[in-house]
Amino acid sequence: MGAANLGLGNKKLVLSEKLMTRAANVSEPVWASLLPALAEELFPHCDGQRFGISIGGLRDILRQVGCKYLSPEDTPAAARLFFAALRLQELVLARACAAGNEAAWESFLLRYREKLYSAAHHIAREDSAARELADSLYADLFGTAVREGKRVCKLDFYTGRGSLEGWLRTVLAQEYINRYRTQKRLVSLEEQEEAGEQYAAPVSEPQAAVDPRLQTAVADVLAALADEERFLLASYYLDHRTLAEVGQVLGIHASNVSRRLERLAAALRANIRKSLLQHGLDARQAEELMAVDVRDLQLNIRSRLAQKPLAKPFSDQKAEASSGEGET
Amino acid sequence: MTELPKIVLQRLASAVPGEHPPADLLAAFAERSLSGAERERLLAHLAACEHCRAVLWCAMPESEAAPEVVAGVASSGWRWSSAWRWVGVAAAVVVVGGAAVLFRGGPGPAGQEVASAPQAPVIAQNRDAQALARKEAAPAPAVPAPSAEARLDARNAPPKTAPQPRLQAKLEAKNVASKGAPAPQEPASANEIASGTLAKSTDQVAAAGARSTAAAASIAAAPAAKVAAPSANPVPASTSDAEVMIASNVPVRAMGKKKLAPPTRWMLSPEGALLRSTDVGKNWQTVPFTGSVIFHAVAVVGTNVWVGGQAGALYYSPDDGSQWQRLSPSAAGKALGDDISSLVFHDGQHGSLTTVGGQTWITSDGGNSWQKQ
Repeated sequence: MGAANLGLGNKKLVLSEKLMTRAANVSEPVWASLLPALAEELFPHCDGQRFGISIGGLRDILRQVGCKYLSPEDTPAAARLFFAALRLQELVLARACAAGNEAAWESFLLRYREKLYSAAHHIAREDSAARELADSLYADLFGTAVREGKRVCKLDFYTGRGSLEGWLRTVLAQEYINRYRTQKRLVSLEEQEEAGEQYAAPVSEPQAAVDPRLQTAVADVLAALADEERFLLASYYLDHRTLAEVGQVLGIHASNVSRRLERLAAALRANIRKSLLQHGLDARQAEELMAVDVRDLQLNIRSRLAQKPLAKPFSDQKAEASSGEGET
Repeated sequence: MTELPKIVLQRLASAVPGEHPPADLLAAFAERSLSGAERERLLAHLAACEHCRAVLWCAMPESEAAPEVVAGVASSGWRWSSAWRWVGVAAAVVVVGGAAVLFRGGPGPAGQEVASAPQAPVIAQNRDAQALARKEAAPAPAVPAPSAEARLDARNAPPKTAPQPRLQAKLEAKNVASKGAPAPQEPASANEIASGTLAKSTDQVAAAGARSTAAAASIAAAPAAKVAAPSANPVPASTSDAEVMIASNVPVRAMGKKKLAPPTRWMLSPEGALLRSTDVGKNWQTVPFTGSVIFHAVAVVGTNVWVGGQAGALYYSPDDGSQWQRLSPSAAGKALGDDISSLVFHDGQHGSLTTVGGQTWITSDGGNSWQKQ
């Protein structure tokens, strides 16, 4: 009996040890075993020594970036490809700046100061607004904000996925768009107040309802498109970007963009029409429905807001992030 | 471009995006550094998120966003294409009108018809006209190689220029762009008929029609055309124009063919070696270069690949990495000695490089000659 108890106890002990090992493995990404050797291998190529970043520091930076974009189950080989594609020199420079290294700041200012102001000018299109925009970003980059007693430097958020210059431009653009929208909203409210509109009763215009068959057909046809095709349509038809701009972002020639848009528009019309015919409409009714001007149609805001988001939150997508790396 | 039904636009605009991606992913997407599922997710978000698209467009570098730069690559090509198509038609009218006037023995109302020719580009820049032109241009037949006599007669029979709108348009857009080039001489009889400033434009249009015919013929049968072109055209530069046309058509065709096979992928290793994958990133091979060059940047446009790095080392391959040639950037007699930190090419010709020291060099001929900014 005692022996049996002892045996059971040992089994429990072994099980709990196994569980603990598994728990430790779960918290430690599979690819983490790669980091010490990788950091040593990459260190000579990243200016770390010049900017006061040690091999251990580089390993920590790589771990942080990996945790953000890699899945814990990713293999070291996949992780190696991911880390190899990072802009390592720029990443180390950014992190050294965030850590307050003077040599790094000197190098950063030499390389990016002019570009930053030039990008701000390109975005804001006006001298004083551009300077204000660039200065506010500089304040964030220097880390003047303090959160929970710790200096927050925006450069800590750069992960080396694209160029540092591209990231700076994007951050500037985000700041500009946010400011512009806030300002526009305020101005718009002030204008309304001046016009006395806020006290006016909402105008209820007679509005025609959209035929639900058309709504369903359009929703289905759009949902069946590839993400890139929806992006093409939105960029060209909603944002009114040029063929060359859209092509530049997608890495295809403008004439190719044009051809794809033509094909897409034709296919959309044909598929919506086909769907309407399947719903029992005749050809003439289908054409008439498609020609309806939706500016006169009632927009059901509530149902629109209740639509399922097309994209999952990025924070939830980490697990899948690298599984598709390398696929077309 | 075909208009979309408004309900489709409304539906597109009303899509609800999820959580916004971080700035570094947006920047990486704009630089085409993302691939696979990550790129697809970002595209899905961008398709639904007007805010992030606004950031994306706003953050595009000036050289890429400026319409005058990018438009020159392609979109204006279409516009000029349709524009010069009409100029070709106008040229036909002019010469036929001119011939009629000649028979009547003096300048007549034909000149008034010609006056509408310069307006053609404005009309053709309209989107609908652009789409129309494209539809018409699409089934353009292969140009048969005409005899030398036929090319010589081209001036007198400009309507023949109409079936080659794209080739003709590109060539003529090029000629228009180089304003310093001498105006074509006018052996055509139309020049002797008309007079004054109106007559000058008539001559240019007529000669333009003739030159483009010669150029189109040279594309169909290049060796024959190279011999025939100087005799068909009194402006020697047109021969080289035709050759440039052939060269610039190559990547377009190559890009079309590339759809059949997976595109070659390029990457730099941590050690600064150039890696190449022909199986969508599953296997990577190191591209050997003589000497131990450490590369920092790679740019790819179709089958054109540029790779640059340590001490101004810059290599170019026009054929997806099969053959490489070393480029030696120099400006004002001074060779580039700094490390190249980034390379950006908008097409096979126009691009820029940035050095570690922050200098920007630009090229408009694929990297053969450079200017320091």
